[in-house]
Amino acid sequence: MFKKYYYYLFLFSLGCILFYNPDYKLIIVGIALFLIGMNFTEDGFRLFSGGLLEKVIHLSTRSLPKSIFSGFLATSFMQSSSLASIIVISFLSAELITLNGALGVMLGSNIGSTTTAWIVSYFGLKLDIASFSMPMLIFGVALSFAKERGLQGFGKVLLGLGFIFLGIAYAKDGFVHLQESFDLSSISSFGYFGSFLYVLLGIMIAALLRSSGASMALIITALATGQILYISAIWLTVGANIGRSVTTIIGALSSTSDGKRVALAHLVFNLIAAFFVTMFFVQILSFVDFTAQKVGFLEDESIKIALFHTTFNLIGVTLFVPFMPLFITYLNKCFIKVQKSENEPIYLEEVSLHIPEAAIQALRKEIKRLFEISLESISNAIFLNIDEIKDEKNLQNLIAKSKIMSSYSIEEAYHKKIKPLYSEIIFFATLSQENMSKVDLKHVYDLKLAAREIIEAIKNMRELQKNIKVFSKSKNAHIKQEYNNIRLDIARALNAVIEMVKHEGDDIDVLSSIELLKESFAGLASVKDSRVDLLIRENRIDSRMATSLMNDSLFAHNVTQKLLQAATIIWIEDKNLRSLGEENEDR
Amino acid sequence: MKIDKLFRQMEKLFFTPNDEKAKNELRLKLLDKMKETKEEIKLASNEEEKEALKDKMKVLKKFLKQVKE
Repeated sequence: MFKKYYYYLFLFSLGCILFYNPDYKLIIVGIALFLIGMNFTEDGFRLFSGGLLEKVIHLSTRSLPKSIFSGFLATSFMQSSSLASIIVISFLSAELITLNGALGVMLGSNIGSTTTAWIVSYFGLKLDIASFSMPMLIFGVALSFAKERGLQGFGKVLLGLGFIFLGIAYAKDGFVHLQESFDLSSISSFGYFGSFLYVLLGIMIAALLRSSGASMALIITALATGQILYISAIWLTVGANIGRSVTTIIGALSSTSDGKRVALAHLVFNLIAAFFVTMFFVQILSFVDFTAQKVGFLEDESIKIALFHTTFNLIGVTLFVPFMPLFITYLNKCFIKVQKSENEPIYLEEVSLHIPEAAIQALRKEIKRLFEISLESISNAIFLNIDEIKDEKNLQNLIAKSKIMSSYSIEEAYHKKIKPLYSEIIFFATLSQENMSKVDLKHVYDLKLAAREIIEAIKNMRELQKNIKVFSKSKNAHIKQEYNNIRLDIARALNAVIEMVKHEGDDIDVLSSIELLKESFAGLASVKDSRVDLLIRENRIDSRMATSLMNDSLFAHNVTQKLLQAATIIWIEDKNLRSLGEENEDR
Repeated sequence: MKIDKLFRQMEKLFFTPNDEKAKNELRLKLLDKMKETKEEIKLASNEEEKEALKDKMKVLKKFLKQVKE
């Protein structure tokens, strides 16, 4: 509630500033254009690269150096550390990467975000970038209307860069105007207190702009126009780095446990780096001067700020990495997930919706959960406990000993547990399909199909359970035996599926098991038909029993086949291998 | 669009093996699995296990035939 009022207060304050002090107008317009530019660049890169960066991050988080490098690469390419955070948190939620890998990417992203400072200080202030921005904006708009996704993306990147350059130019002009009426550099004469104020101001700027790139652009432009002193820019940079964590924390408040862990790690990392820099302030500044002198930029304070920003983050990474295993152990104890009820999804997080790979993986995991819940419900529907089916080798014996409880209803389980979860899965799948490539869309389509097969199996079982309840208590031993045989067939199928899932890992083993199971249950319906004929001829069952048995045999056949079909889609990720199973089915 | 093509080529090169290559990889995997199953049949301790492995072998042969087609 307060969040909403803060936002209106912010809009009101902004209006007052613009109305009463027109000097700030140009700076604020500059920042606004810079932020619009970053949004366009981020969107453009997503369209343009077609998930390439996500794949790079996914595949390169197996070791810490690789994950740091991929974080650096992704952020410096896209000029957006927030997109890197979204990718990391969504992958973590879908369990595609480990916390270790995620923290590595975040550390790399911190170093990558310093490239903005280099771009602004080197190109933004030395060239007349406003003149470059015009053709970029024109071609950017023209290309963003293109039909091809790649061209559209490239157009958006151009448009974004155009706005960023224009924003820097506006902010630069704004600071020149402001210098005539207000001198911010006077605060720096307050000594330690002044430094503290600048750190605080840096935190506020980054938290308000929600972008470290925009904050650095603002700081460097203010420095280049003489609005602030070099030393003040240094403290502002330290503050902006901490402020970036504030925005991550605000974002993580409504996020998953994993998101909160990453945000906490990010804050600790930035605080450690800031503390170290404060302790060895003189030495670090001497190092920056020494390096700047070696590369011939000693007199260029903007470049020195970019150099300081990079050094600051590199120091942070160097200090943080040795303690990472210890810190991860601590993080795993924080923000423990609250066990959700069975009808609520565990993996379907909003953050994963925007990243196709994470969305697909989250869907796969949730459908596996739906499958497991359904196995349990089917097992209860044949009046056996799933754990007993798992452990018992003599299923015939188990069925003979089991009691028929009239209280359990798969219909109720379907409405209370399965249907709500299935609805969430379909809703998430539909939302995730936006901006997906054809290949990813096919993946989602297949997974939706698997979920539907599970539901079909449950619906068939629902029909079957009614008669199991009735005939398993029948005085006619023949019909009772027939229904026990149906229960045995289903129990065998469940046992085989559980065994198969247990040995998950080797796709060929899993597929061949599925194939054998399909073959073994394929004859279920026809065998039953011939058996029913015999039972009628020998007058052992009446015609009403016979029709029920024939229908129910078909339901049992459907339950097993649908479960196996769903298992093939869920567990066999290799498209080519899965097609072998499908081809077999066609024949 | 050159840059667009470059990205697609990079993706193809690193992430999407072509159909022929994928088919060949699958064929080799199936051959390895058949070899492994053959060994398991030899080492099977009882008749039931042996039969199950033989059935698995039949399915693998069927898969291999499909890949060759």
